Amino acid sequence: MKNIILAAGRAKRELSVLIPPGKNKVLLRILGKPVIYYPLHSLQEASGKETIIVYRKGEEQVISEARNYSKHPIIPITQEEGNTIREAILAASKELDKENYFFLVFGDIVIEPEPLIRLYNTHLTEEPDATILLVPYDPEYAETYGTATIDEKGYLTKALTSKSIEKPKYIIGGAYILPNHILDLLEKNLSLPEAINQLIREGAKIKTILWTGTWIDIGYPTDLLEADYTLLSMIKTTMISDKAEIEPTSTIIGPVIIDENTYIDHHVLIKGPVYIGKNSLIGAHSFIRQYSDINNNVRIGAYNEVKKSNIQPYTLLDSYIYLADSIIGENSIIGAYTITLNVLEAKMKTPRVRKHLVNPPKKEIEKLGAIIGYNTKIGSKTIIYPGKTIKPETIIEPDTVLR
Amino acid sequence: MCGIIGVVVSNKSTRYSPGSMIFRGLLRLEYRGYDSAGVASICGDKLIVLKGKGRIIDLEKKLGFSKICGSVVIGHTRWATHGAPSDINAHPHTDCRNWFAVVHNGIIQNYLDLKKTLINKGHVFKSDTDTEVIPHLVEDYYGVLRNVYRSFKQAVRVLKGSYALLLISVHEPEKIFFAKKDSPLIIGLGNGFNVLASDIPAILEYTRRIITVRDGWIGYVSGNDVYIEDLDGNIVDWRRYVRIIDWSISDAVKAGYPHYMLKEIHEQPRALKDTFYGISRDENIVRVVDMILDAEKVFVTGAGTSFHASYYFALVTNVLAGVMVYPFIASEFESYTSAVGEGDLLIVVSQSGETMDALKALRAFKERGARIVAVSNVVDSAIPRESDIAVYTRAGPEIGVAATKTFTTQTLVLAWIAVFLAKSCGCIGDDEAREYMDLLGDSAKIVSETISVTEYAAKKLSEWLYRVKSAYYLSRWIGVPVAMEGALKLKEIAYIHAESYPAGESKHGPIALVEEDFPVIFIVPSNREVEKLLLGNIKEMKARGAVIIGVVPEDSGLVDEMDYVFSIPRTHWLITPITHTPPQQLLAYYTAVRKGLDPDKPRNLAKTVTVE
Repeated sequence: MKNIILAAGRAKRELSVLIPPGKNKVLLRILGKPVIYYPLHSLQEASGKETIIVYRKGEEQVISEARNYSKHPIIPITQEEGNTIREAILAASKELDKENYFFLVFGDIVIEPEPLIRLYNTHLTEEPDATILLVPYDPEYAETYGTATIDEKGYLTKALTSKSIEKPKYIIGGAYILPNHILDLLEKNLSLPEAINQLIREGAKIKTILWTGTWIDIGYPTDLLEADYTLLSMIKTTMISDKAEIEPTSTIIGPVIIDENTYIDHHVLIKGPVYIGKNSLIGAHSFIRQYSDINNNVRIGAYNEVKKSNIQPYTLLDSYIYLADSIIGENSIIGAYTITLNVLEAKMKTPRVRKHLVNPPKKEIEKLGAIIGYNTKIGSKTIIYPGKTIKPETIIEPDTVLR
Repeated sequence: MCGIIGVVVSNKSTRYSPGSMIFRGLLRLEYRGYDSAGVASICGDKLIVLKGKGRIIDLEKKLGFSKICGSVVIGHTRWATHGAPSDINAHPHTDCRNWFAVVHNGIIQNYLDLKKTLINKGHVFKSDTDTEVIPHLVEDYYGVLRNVYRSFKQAVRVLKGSYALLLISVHEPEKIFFAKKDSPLIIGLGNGFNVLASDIPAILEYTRRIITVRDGWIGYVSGNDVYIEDLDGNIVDWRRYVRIIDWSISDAVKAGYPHYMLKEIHEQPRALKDTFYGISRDENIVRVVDMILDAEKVFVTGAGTSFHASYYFALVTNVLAGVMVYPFIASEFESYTSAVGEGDLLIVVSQSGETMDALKALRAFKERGARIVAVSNVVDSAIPRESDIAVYTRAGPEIGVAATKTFTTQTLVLAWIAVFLAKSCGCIGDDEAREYMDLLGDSAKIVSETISVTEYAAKKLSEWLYRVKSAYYLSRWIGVPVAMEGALKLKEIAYIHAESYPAGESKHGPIALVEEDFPVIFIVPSNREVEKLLLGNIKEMKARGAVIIGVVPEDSGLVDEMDYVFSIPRTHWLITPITHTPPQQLLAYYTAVRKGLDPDKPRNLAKTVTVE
């Protein structure tokens, strides 16, 4: 059984503001690591073998990053044609010739090893014709996923598409063990769900595994915040690199991860869970609050407040900035005194802001700050309204109010 | 479901003796059933069989499975679905001359025909099981063919049904013969020994190299060799099928789920379907209904979750059939015994059939002349045995300590009885009865829908709920026992203090505790009248700042009054326990997991309480 990771997908419009040319969404950083690290690591924990990665020409960094994290050989395959999953799988088909099954995982899902281990073991033990991962159906959050129905024994009865009339029961979790002969069906121009349904019609038994833990598909910018929240919640202890330098007057309340060559200036307050990547800097008197994910090579000046935000590499925050529930693409500059507003009004429905019940359900407030594209320069004293997306490579004049 | 295992050793230097390997393997298979067990081995030139009724651990003390002599041993653990577990019916089964011993998991459909033929040929049968035909059949063929494998093959050829079979014989004492169709069987390859078992957990301790036996395969293993033929008689190159298993035993039996409790919650559609299949063909139901109609007073009792099912039964019989049934908590039986006499009836509900409190209630009532009906999940356990009549849920073994699928199946059985009762006493017409029966038949489908539409909501609410110290569960009418069950789940699994009350009762005291952000969970049955009544209670709680959580039919007007909703399909109030319980089970489960607790092993609790 060969491993395949699909990493040639095009980002949705909303997410593409964070992805510079030559990069892919699987290279966005979460806790210092590219997104592809999560499915790759988990897949290799489940089935420790060489892994085919389908990527897009011109995005070779996907392969080099994957190799950085892989314990096993990586077989790069470029997807020349099309944008569909079907075409991506077919691109890899020549590597799959001699196998009975292949283990397919999408490159843009943040997932732990456990569900994939269970998927793999269940497939080997029960020997169904295929095995796929399901996650609970979340109606608020599900419109963009493939969904499915199952029977009372846990076998797949149908993979649903947007045209299906059945009520979905579960979300298909982007991890499959599929028989090789599904390639023939894909060749006949059936999409992956159609091909799966065809297998069922031909009498195949498709076992499902229900995973109820961490599973985040990175499709929208807010999914990065969701991944940060989830992964940071799992951190239990503080880990500070020997090579990080922390001034004695700063205060760190764990759990906090601070990576190597990072400098924390005087009177900084960090309240975990927080991640601060390599070669970064936090200026004096800054306040870094819970669920902040500050990736490598980020500089944050003095007197800034950062809360529950994801800052991609090589970005700079001047001073006196309030950044909350926001995402900043790489290599951007945020001018001093910039404020992000973050309380969404009920009528402003932004795609997929997952609500966390920090407060009792009746006191739920939806929060989202700004989504700032890569290579952007925001002038000083800019006020950014909640949920605002700023296109990449934009230059904003100082003293602007962005509604 | 049963579990089988076989061990054959060629090299005496293995770490464990074959007997202890079998014993430990049987313990691992106990989740597949545990009402009787047995082992057989070839010791010298003799076949030795040790078997009996009871738990493996007790049988080990009594019979000493692990000390059985010989290097070829087979074992079996049984979960009776038809016929009683007994010493005689326990596997292994043997032939007339004690040449062959067989363990079997599955059902031989044509055993009656085969048995008749064999009896005509002079074979003497000892048990009532379908399995016993197999050793006799092999014996019969052996008389002609004088070759164990060929006789075994010939015998398997005439079997109809499902089977995973192991056979040992004094004529070839170094081999275990096997065959498989539709029931699971694997081979574990060891160093100087080989094992066969129903499931991987039974052998993981000894080897991680396994072969999954395919349907139609037949063959034998010795201590250092394996021989397999496929359906068409071709020799199978088994080396191609060897795999290495690198996972833990506890993962193996949970079929992909992180905990038994979640597995069992998700098994409810299947458990309900099987139970429905069972009761709709059970002739005892009519007898139970007659007993209720004949009785002067009818009582129903149980402990914990089973009491909630009992309480539900009392309400349903009252509403549907106008028959008064007195529910009481089993340990409180003494408060009721003086009112009991001949002509009365006690219905005892117990998942395990061994609950001490329920058993004592049963005995006390029996002593005073009452007749007894048992509702249990374990065939021929103590309570069914001591009862006049028993009806069974078919939920399968439940490993998680908290009752989940056994509650919904209990209520299904009890609702079925209530519907028959109402029909028999003329309280409902045939059409209405038919409608209810169809509804109960659909419950598997409905519960599968409920689980999938509420699972995510339960997980999300647990993010907040895990921090609260206490909660109320309120309902009215048929919803009250369901609320009680919800509160019990939250208590026992998530260690959150939870109390349930009839909603009308809440203003007579409990409301004093309600303050800002106090969670109150309303169970809203599908009944417009009750919904209207509950509205007042919701408003009362809301006015005091409570967080209102509802398990509500999707189209109910009450949805707008809630802070958080588990929206479930609108069906009939009769199946409220089946539709409204799974979301509460899921909520307790996810809250426990969020708190870092093991929902399968709540502290201070045992699955079956066999003490007072």
